[in-house]
This record gives sequence, C-alpha cells and structure tokens, in this order.
Amino acid sequence: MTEAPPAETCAVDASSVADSVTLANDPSAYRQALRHHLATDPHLDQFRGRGHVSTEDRITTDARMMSLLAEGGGWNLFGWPHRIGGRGGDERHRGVFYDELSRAGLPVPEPQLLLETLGPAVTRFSPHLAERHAPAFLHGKEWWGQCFSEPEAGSDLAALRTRATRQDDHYLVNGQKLWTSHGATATRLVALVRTGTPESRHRGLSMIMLDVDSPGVTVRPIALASGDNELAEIFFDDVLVPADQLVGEENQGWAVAMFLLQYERAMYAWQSASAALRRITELRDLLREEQLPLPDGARRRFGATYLDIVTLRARSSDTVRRLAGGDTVGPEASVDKVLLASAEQGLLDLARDLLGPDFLLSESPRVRAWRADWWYSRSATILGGSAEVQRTILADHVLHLPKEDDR
Amino acid sequence: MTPTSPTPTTGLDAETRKSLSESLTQLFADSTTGDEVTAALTEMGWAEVEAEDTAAATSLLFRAQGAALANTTALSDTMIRSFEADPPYAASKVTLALPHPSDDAARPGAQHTSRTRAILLDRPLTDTLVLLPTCHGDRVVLRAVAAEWVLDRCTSVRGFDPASTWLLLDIPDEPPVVAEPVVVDWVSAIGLGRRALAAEILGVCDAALDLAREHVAARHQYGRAIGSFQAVRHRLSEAFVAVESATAVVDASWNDVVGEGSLDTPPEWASVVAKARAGRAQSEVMRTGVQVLGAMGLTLESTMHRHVTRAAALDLLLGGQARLETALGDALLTGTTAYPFASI
Repeated sequence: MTEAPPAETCAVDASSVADSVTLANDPSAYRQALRHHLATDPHLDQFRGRGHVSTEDRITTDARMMSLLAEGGGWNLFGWPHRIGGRGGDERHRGVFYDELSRAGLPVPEPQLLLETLGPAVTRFSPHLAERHAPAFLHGKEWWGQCFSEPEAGSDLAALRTRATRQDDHYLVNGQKLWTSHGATATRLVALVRTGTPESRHRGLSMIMLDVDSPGVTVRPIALASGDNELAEIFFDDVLVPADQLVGEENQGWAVAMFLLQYERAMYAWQSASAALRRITELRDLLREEQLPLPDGARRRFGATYLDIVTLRARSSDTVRRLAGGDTVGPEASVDKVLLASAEQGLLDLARDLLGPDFLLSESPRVRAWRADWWYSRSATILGGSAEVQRTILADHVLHLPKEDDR
Repeated sequence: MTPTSPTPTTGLDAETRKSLSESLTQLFADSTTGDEVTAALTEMGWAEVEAEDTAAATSLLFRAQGAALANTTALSDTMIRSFEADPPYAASKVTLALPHPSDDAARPGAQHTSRTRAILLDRPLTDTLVLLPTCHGDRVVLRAVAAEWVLDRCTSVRGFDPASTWLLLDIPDEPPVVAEPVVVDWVSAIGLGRRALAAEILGVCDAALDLAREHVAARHQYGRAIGSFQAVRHRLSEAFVAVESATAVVDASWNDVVGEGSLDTPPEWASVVAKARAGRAQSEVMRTGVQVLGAMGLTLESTMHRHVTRAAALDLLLGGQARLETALGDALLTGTTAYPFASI
C-alpha cells in the first residue's frame, strides 16, 4: 500500500471576492484550496497535537482557531449563507471543512458542534436572530448552548416543563434545564420551553434564544466522571426575554426541534467521523512510539474499528449530500446515530484496551486525553436521543414493526 | 423498505436502475438453474449494461441474485469479462476457478506451490476450459486446463449448504496446462469480485430480514405479536442498521473505481472494506434472523437456514470477514494510511 498522494498545490486567496465565489460554487476546489492553506499556515501549528486540557481551555482555544480561520481568509465561513456572515456554499463545504481539519491533524473546533446543531434552525426560522448573532459565532467571538433536557424530561423531551409566559413584548421564563452541552461557557442559549398547557406535550412548545447574562439566569457546571465540565445545569428565575427572540412562531417549537435534529444527527455524525479517522491514526502512532505490546486479537480489532469508522463515513457523507441537496432527512437518520455511537465507543474502547496498563497508569497528556475522551464517548449512546430511542424510531418508522403497545 | 442511498450522478439513471432491478428480480424468479440465468442474462444484453455502468450493473445483478439464493456462474463470468477487451481464451467457453478460501485471494497458490486447489461455482461443461489463477512472482497468471481433468478430481461442497453447486478442487498435483498462461490484472478482477460478492451477501440479508419482519408481525405469543416486544424490535433495528450501513459502504467502494472519489483510497483497499463490511452484516443479520424465528429458524420449516448457509459461503469466498478485518488491522498497525474511504 502506498501513502496518499500529496495535496495538489494551488494558491487561492479565499479573501478575494472572485476566488470566494468560485470556491462557494465548487466544494472540490474549496477542498483543494483549504487543504493547501491548512498545510502551509504556520499559525495553525499551535492547535496541533494537543494533550488533555480542561473543557473551558479547549473551547476557548478552539474559538481562537475559528477567529484565525475567519479573519485569515474566511476558511470556516464557507457553507454558511452570506446574510449570517458566511461566504456561501452548502453543507458539503462544511463537511469538507471538518474533514480537511482532521486530515491536517487539527481539531474540529468545539463551538462548531452547536453551530451545526443550532445555526441552521435559527437561520431558517428566525433569520433576524441569525443575522444579529451568527457572525460572532462564526468568528469564534461567542458560542451558544442548547437547552433541551430537564430533570424530568430526558429521552421523553415532550414532557419538559420550563415555562415561558407572554407579557406584552416579552416572555417570562421560569424553570430548570439540565445536561446542557457547552452550558458552562456559552454566551447565548437556545431553549425549548413550554408555552402551551402542561398537558399539551409537543404541541405546546416554543424555541427561544436568550442571553446567559440576563438577570435571573444561573449556570452551574456539571462535571463528567472524568472531572471535565462538559455539561451544565441552568436555572431560570423570572428571566425576561424580548418576544422577538423566539425561534419560529409560538408553539412551533417541536417543528423547529425536528428540523434541528436533522443537523444534529447528520452533521454531528460527520464531524465525529472526520475526527475519528484522525484519532485512530494518532492511536496507532502512539502505540508505535511507545512500543507497547499488543494483546491477542489486537490486529483484528484494530481493523474492525477502522471498518466502523469508514462505515460511518460512507453513510454520513451520503446524508450530508442529501441535506445539501435539500432533502428532508427523516427517521432514517437514526441509522447514522447508531453508527456514530458504535464507531466512537468502539474507538475509545480499542484505545483503552490497546494502551493496556498505560490507560490507567500513565500521566502523559496524550494518555490523559484518551482517558477523558473515553468517558465522553459514553455519551454517544445517550445524548441527542439514547441508543434505545434510536432503535425504537427505526422499528416504528422505518421497519414498521408492530407497535410496543399492540396487544 | 426504502433504500436511502443517493443516486449516483453518472451512468444509469434512477429510473433505469429501478426497472433493471425489477427485471432482474423477475429473471431470477423465472429461472430454476444457473444455465437458465446465464441464458436470460445473455438475452437481456447484460454485457452491454455492464459496460455502460459497471458499478450499477454489478450491484443490481448480485443483490438480486443474493435475494433469490440463486446458484449461477455470474461471478466467474463477470470477472472474466473484466479482463479488458481481449479476455483470455475468448474463442472458447471458459470457467474461472476461484482461489481456495485458505489462500490469500490476491495471491492464489502462493502458499502451496505444488498443490492445486480452488473453488468452482458450478460444474464446467465438458470440452471447455477451466482457468486457474496462479500467483507467479508479483503477477497472477491464468493457467488453462481441460474441464474433464477438473471434473475427475473435484468433489461437491454440500456439507453446510446442501443446495450449493460448488466444487472443491484440492489435490497434490500440478495441473496439465493446455495453453500458454496469460497474465491478467488480477488486482482489479478480485476487487470487482469482492464488490459483487458484497452485493450478493446483502441481497441474502435483504431476504432474511424480510422473512424475520414478516414472522415477528405474524407470530403471536403472550397475546401479542412478538414483534411488539422491545427486545425483538431493537434486534431487528440493529440488523437493519447493519444492512443499510453495509449498503452505503458497498456503494462508496465504487467511487475510486468510477472516478468519483477523491482518489485518496486505493480501489483494492476499498473492495476489502466492502467485502469485510458485508461479511459483518451477514453475521449480525443471520444471528438475529435465526433467533427471532425461534425454533423455526433452526429447522427446515422456515427457509431462514438457506440464507444462513448461503451467506456463510459467500462470506468465505475471496476472503471472509475475519481474515479481511485482520488484514486491514495489520496494514494499519504497520503504518499504512488510514484511508478516508468515503468523502463529501
């Protein structure tokens, strides 16, 4: 087997208007130009080969990387519409961006996770909010958190109780959100709240954007078992939110959430698939450098894990192309989610087993990162709809099996 | 079930593919022997369809063949046609013998130089030639022998799959070659063969999954359809994920062959990935299929057993899941690039 051929060298200046239009119309040209930029910009080296750092440091550093890319050619702005500060293009550009970062040994910036989840829905349902706030998000100046889960509403999202009551041109928000990703550091939150009666289930929900520094918002970080503050709980006590910060119409929240889930399932899966290819290479390199003895069965497991990663890539790249083509991605996106979870947990389990005693005993920054990531990977079968929910969606809506309450 | 893979942008359009797929299903339903299938395909002008869009034609033909559990020589015929414009011994009817599953399929015969061993998909006609692929240094040559010589020395392979038409040749003799050996592009041929087998395995999986779905909807226990129990539903969802995802893999494995890929991944690597993934899918689908059918799954009452044995045989041919996963892991651990395989 031979190594992959080197990137075609080309000098495209993405900041020039003419080149920018060309790149926005042609994802392959964008890929080549971006590949060249990532391989040659020395300022990016500081973001490579990072060991374990706190969640807060990681997200702040990643945001700086976004600023650098945005201001040094606008490389991370492709795939987003002009009116929210993007350079045009579609989901394929964003997919290429994550893949090329991973190929160049760079992380997919943490804020991009929720930019992908929240950006398209806010742009679609409340363009005025996206125009106001998304440019700062794209430039790494701020990032948003997603407030869906509550103490009594995890998998059963439609049971949520945080209430928003209309008062003139404001909403008064009261309640509690839990397990909010990036909640500890986010500037703005996009929350699913109840505007209908308590019994209204999914019909009485609305999506609303609010500022974390509004009076009455309290944020308390939640540490994962790794000690990292990946999540937060957020309390709302009589928080006044301008009514124009609704995302979509009142009581349209479920439709907004369903639109958003397409991106959460599809784009997050692709981000993970891209990063996993970089991580399995890093694992191989670490094993070789440390000359660790491989346990029995290691060769087959390594191959099988690689197979899981490229399977996710094959499926997920199809889905990203469908989104870019304007298709609605329905319940079949649960396939992507199931694959994502097996690829990610499989990779981290492989790392744990192949690193052997080092996984527990080593204090090297790289091994500490594998340990923290191992814990984080356990969330792959929980967040965004648990593994059980995904299988039930497939059984109900794709396979059309008898319903669970059929007697 | 609705396939969710996007339509390729080149070659046969979606409508043509759909109608071809229906014709193939009908063709396999109407034919009772491999010879009938071969004749019907010839009448359809299959070689031309294949020349127009190898990826679509191969995927459709072998998926339909798998779903029908048909025994044909389509794999041998397709691989022979791939030997470019001037296939060896084009004047006569020839059969390609496939490497013995214990051999590295990419290097047939390299492990046992004085032994002759191979698999034939069906009995060759008398007065025809059998081509034995044999590793010769870095290249693979085809050695032609008389069908009678093979027929006198081979045995039927019916142990696991009584419906199989396979023949096993495994003897400690050099074959009496009847013509000058021909060098062929074996790497490409075996890549094609692996993609075809992957599609065929998924066809067997489609049929097994349909059987399982029908059964769990019809079979009642404890006063309800067993398909309404979460444990059963989730297993079938997982089997579905296995088939859907392997389908995406097999589709993507053609990209670098037909020039749509980023040329980052060698086509032979991609074909190993496709075959290994299909092998994994059949192992998951068959385990689930047999389980949800209860006792019927392991008796002759249901046809599930035929899917299990056929899938196992197809998995073994040209490298099984276990062997290929190990080969991928070996290559990666010794420094081969973790090729992206599929890209946006």
